[in-house]
Amino acid sequence: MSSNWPDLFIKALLETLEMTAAAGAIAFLAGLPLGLVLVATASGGICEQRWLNRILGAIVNAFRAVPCIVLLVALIPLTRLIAGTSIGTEAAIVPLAIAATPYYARTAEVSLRGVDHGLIEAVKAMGGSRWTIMREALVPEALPGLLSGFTVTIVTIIGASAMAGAIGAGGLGDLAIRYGYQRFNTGIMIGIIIVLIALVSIVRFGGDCLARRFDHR
Amino acid sequence: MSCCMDWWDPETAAFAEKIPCSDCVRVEADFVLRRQSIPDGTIVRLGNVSKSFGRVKALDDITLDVQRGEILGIIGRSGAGKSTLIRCLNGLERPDRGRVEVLGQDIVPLPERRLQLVRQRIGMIFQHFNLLSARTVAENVTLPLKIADVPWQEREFRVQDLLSMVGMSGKASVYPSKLSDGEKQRVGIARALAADPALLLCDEPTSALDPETTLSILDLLRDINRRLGLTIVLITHEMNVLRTVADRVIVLKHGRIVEEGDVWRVFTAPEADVTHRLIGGHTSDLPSAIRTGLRNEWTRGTDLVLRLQLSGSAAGNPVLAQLTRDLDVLPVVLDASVQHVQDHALASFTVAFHDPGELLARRIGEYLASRVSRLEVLGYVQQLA
Ligand SMILES: Nc1ncnc2c1ncn2[C@@H]1O[C@H](COP(=O)(O)OP(=O)(O)O)[C@@H](O)[C@H]1O
Ligand SMILES: [Mg+2]
Repeated sequence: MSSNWPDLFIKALLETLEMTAAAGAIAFLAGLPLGLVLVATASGGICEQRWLNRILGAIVNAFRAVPCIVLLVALIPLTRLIAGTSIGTEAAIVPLAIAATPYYARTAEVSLRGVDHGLIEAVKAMGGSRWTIMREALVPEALPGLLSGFTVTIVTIIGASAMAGAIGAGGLGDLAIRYGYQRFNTGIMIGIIIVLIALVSIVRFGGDCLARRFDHR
Repeated sequence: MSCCMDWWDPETAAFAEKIPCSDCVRVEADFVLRRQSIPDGTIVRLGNVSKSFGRVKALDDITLDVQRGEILGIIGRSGAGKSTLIRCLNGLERPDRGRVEVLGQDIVPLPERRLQLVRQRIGMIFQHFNLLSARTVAENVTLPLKIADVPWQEREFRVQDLLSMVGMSGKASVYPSKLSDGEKQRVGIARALAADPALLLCDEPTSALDPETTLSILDLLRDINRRLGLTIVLITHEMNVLRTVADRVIVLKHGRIVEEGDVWRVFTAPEADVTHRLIGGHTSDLPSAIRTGLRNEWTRGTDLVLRLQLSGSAAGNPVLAQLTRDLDVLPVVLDASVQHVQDHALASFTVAFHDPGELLARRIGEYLASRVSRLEVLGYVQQLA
C-alpha cells in the first residue's frame, strides 16, 4: 500500500463531493421550475397547457428511461462542447446534472401535485396571481416532499458519480477502480465502501431533519 | 370609538395614524362599504347565468339579486349546483352564458388580472377551511393583505384586530394543524375578512363542525354581518343554520332556482317539493311504530293521523280546542312543536282521531283546512292505544 493513500482518499472524497454538490445544485435549480411547470400546465393545473405539458413530459421520460451509465457515455460530445473536455471531475458534472434534473423534476412534480387543491383555490379566491399561488401555496406546502425528494436525488447522484469514475471522472469511484479493482487493494476497497455509506447516511439524515423541520401538517 | 375619531382625517379620508383598536377596523370597514356606490343596494346581480360541465347542466338560467347587507342562504341537494353558483360570484367558475355583475361590473368578460382585483374584495370560506399548513395563523390571515399590497406596517395591526374579532388572538403564532376544527374556521373567517371584503362567500362553512361549534361560528357570522353590514352568501345543508342566520333563501334543483323568499316564509310555507323535503327533515318525525303502520285507505277500527301547521299569528289560535268543542271529537297529540324563525312562529301538530269513520274524517278535514296554514293527511293506522 502506498504511503500517500490518505491523501488520495481525501482528494477522491472532495472530488465526489464537488461533483455531487454541483450536479445537485443544478438539478435543484433547473428541476424545481421544471416540476412546477409540469404541474401548472397539466390538465386542471393553474396554467393549463396540454401540449407543452405533453412535450415536456415526454422529454423528461426519455431521459429517465436511459440508464445512467449509458447517458454518461452518450453525452460525451455535449460534455466536450460545454466543459471543453470529457475527462475529469468538472466534465463529469455536465452529464450528472443532465441526468439528475429530469429525475428531480419528476420527484418535485409528485410532491407539488400532492398539494391540496383547496389551498390553491383559497389563494386564488383571495385574488392571488399564478405566481402568488406558486410562491405562497404550492412550494411552501410541498416543501417537506421537495426536500426529501432532493435528498433522494443527491443519493442517486452520489451513486452515479461513482459510476462516472469508470469513464474517467475522478472521485471515489475512480479510486475504487484503480486501487480496488485493478490492484486488488481490499483495504482501500473497504474504506471506499465505508465512506460512501457514511456519506449517504449523512445526506439522508440531514435531509430527513430538514424535511421534518418544515413539515407542519 | 373615540380613539379612532381623533385620528380620522376627513381630508384624505384616511386614518392619520394607525391606533390599534378593534373599533378602528370596524369604522374603516364601514367606510369602505359605504364608499361602494352600488345601485339600489344590489351587490350582486346574476342575469340568465348558465354553466354546463360536459352534458351536466350545473346552472340553468339563474337570475338572482343579492342585496347589500343581507345574508342569503342557498339550499339544495348535493349536485344541485350550489357550489358552482357561489364560485361564479368570484369568478372561480366562468359561466357559459349570462351576466355576473359584482360590485357594479360584469365580471364574466374580465381578463384574469382584473378578475384578481375583484376577488381581492370578496372573501371566501370553505367547508374544509383550506388554511395553509406551512403558515402560522397570523401568516395565513396576512396573506390577503399581502396580495392586496397593504403596507406591512399596517398588516400587523389589521391581523391583530381580525384575530381578536374572531377570538383567536392567543394563537397568532400557532400552526393550523394544532387547532381544533372550530378554531380553524375562525381563522378562515378572519382571513376572508382581512382585505375588507364587500361580500363574503361561504360554501358549507359548518358542515365539518359539531353542532355546538356550528352555533358559535354562526353567531360569529351573524355578528359580523350586523356590525360590518357585510353581505353574506351562505351554502348549507343544515336547516338549523339557515333558520338561525339567513334573511333570505333560494332553493336550487338541477341548476334552477325552484323557490326564493324570506326565510320565515320558506320555512313556514314552503312551495316547492324539494323545499318540503329539505325542510321536512327538520320538523320532528313520527314514532317509527306509527310511521310504518300508516295506510292510505281507511278501514274499520283505524285511527286517522293528520299533520297540521299554523304559521304567523295563526300559531296562537287554539285550533285543537275549537275542533274538540265544535265537532265533539278528541284529538290525541302525537307530536307538537313551536319554532320561531325570524320572529315568525310556526306551530306544528301531529294528531290522531280514534276510529272517526269516513264521514267524520271528512268533516274534520274540512274544518281544519279552513283554519290552519297547512294540512296533511298522513294516513290511517291500526288502533294506537
Ligand atoms: N369541475 C367540474 N367538472 C365536472 N363537473 C362538475 C364540476 N363541478 C361541478 N360539476 C358538476 O356540476 C353539478 C353541480 O355541482 P356543484 O355545484 O358542486 O353542486 P353542489 O355544490 O350543490 O353539491 C354536479 O353534477 C357536479 O358533478
Ligand atoms: Mg358543493
